Amino acid sequence: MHIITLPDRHGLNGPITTRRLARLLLIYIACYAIGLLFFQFAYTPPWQAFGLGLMIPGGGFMAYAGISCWQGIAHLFLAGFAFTLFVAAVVLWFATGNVLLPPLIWITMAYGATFMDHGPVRINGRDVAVATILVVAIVACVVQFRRVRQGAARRNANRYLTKAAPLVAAKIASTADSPASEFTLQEVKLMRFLLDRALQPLSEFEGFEWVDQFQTAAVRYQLHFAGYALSMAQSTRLPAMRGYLEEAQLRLIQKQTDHRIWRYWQLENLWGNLKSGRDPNACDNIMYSGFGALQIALFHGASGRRDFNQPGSFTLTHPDSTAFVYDLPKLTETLRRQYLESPFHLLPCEPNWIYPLCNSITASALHAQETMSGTPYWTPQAETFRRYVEAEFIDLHGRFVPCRSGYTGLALPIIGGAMPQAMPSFFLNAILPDMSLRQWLLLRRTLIDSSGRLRMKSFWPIDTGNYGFSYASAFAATAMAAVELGDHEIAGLCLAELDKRNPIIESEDTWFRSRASVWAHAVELIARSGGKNRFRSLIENPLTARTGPAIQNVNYPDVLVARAVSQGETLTAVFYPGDAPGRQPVTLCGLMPERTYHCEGTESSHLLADRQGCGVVHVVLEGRTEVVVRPVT
Amino acid sequence: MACCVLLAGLIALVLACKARIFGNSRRSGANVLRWRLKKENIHGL
Repeated sequence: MHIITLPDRHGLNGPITTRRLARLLLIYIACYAIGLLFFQFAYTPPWQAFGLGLMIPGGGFMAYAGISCWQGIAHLFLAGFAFTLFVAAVVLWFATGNVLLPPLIWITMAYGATFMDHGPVRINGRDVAVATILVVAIVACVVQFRRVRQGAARRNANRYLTKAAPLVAAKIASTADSPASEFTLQEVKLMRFLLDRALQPLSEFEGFEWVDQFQTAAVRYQLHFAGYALSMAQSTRLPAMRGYLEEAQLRLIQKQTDHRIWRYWQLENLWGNLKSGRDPNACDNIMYSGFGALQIALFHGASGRRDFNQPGSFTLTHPDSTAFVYDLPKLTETLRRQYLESPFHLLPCEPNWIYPLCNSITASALHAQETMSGTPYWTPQAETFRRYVEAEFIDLHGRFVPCRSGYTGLALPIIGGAMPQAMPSFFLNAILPDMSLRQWLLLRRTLIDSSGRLRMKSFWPIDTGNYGFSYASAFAATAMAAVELGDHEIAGLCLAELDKRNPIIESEDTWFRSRASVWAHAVELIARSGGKNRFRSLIENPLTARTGPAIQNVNYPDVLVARAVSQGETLTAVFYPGDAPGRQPVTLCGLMPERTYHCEGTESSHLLADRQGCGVVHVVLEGRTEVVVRPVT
Repeated sequence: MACCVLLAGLIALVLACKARIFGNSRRSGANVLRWRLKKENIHGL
């Protein structure tokens, strides 16, 4: 089996990133030079301190720093605190896209230092020169060290991809993929966890976690991934189930239009792009628009419905009555156009912060909509997308960069453990499967030890769905990718560890995993619904017509459906009682009009379809109940 | 004195930003996960 290798590269960064970093360096050198002029030539000590403050964040307080007296030590601490504040501002810039905060804090602290009135400054030009040379030398050493170490890691990765990885890939490929059959009772209950949240009235969000609306715990992601999970479930186990399953997906999409879900963008757009626009789909923000496009596309692909192709079907209305009119074709066209205009050819989530994961999700949406509509949203830019991901968003080591600033070229350090490396592999499998497999194989090396056990240090102990201390999202997301790549060994290990570390809490009126976020529950259902290339299949082979017998309606949550498949004119379904055993109606549709059907597992052994091809059978549910409905020949 | 005032101001700014950005997190945790849809709240199915 041929595995593609990492392209030859010698620098730490790609060409666009390098240019952005060079620009940032020039801006800093200019700032430093102005600061130096103030420090050397200002007549008064406060403005000399201001100069120091321009040279380094919080540096103004170093004007009176020293270690020989308590006042000097106090100023040293003050400078350290001021620098920490600047670092915090940079973190907030990353978290919320607020690009103004770091320079604002920098300048404010430089100006704040001018209010100190302690006489002549204690440090001189020689001190500044020594410190500058020292810092430049340290930075140069760190960069060189990283270049050498990561370069060696890349060569090592390519040796692995050439020699050992094909054997691993062949082993994975040879593992028989269990055919999609039915959900277990535990999986049905997991699905109910999501259905309960999805099926409540549109304006209600009970059972969702409201922590913040900027980062990974935002409610929009809980809606997106619950939608993805239900679409996967419909696609793989429940293609002949309509009723509550489609209603739930529909409501999850409609909940995205609630102003509380997308109002964060007005603030982010203002402090990140310096624009006053409130429309969250207009530019950037693919964490809403791109993710939402995929949610809708998967719903269309799994159900065969095309609700959101109707003009204006995804309209967002601001409380002041301004309407932002969208539908799936308009959403995907807006994204396609932005891709063509983007210098990195990938789009930002928060203003200027570009995530390869979010772009793999967005590109999957374009590919799905291209397949369904025939409009070339994805194919013409597939190779450009690949080239830019390779050059700018995979580091010299061969790992996905979590995210990169489009303004400065700076990247977030590789954090998050396996999850941010595994998730892009899941989504890329639908658009660039060879790259997906390569990245998965590289990640896989780090996940298990020589005895075949999971290496716990590869997993982040923080649940990104609510920032709680738990491995739930890490195991669920890694399992999700493993299942899609057909790697049953890793998937099994992760799901077993999830069961062990986040046991299910169940009572008469509740079911959930302890210390797992709502988002982690959704990701787990994607993993448990999936199978080898099943996500790719949903993107590439969407349902185009609703044919054959299907379940149109059952009472929710009295009847929970674990399987619903039609083959020709035969429907096979498996039901579980929701809360209590009992006799329940099941409305069928897609039958041949006025034809008689033989029914197994139902109260009556025959059913006569009406003129619309519908009919109702009754089932007595006490536990797992299998029903087969086939035409009488 | 100026240093102390500046410090206090910066701390207040950070706390204000934190409250505005992260909001409160009262609706997270086990109680949220325990929530289940009540039958009388299911409409239109």
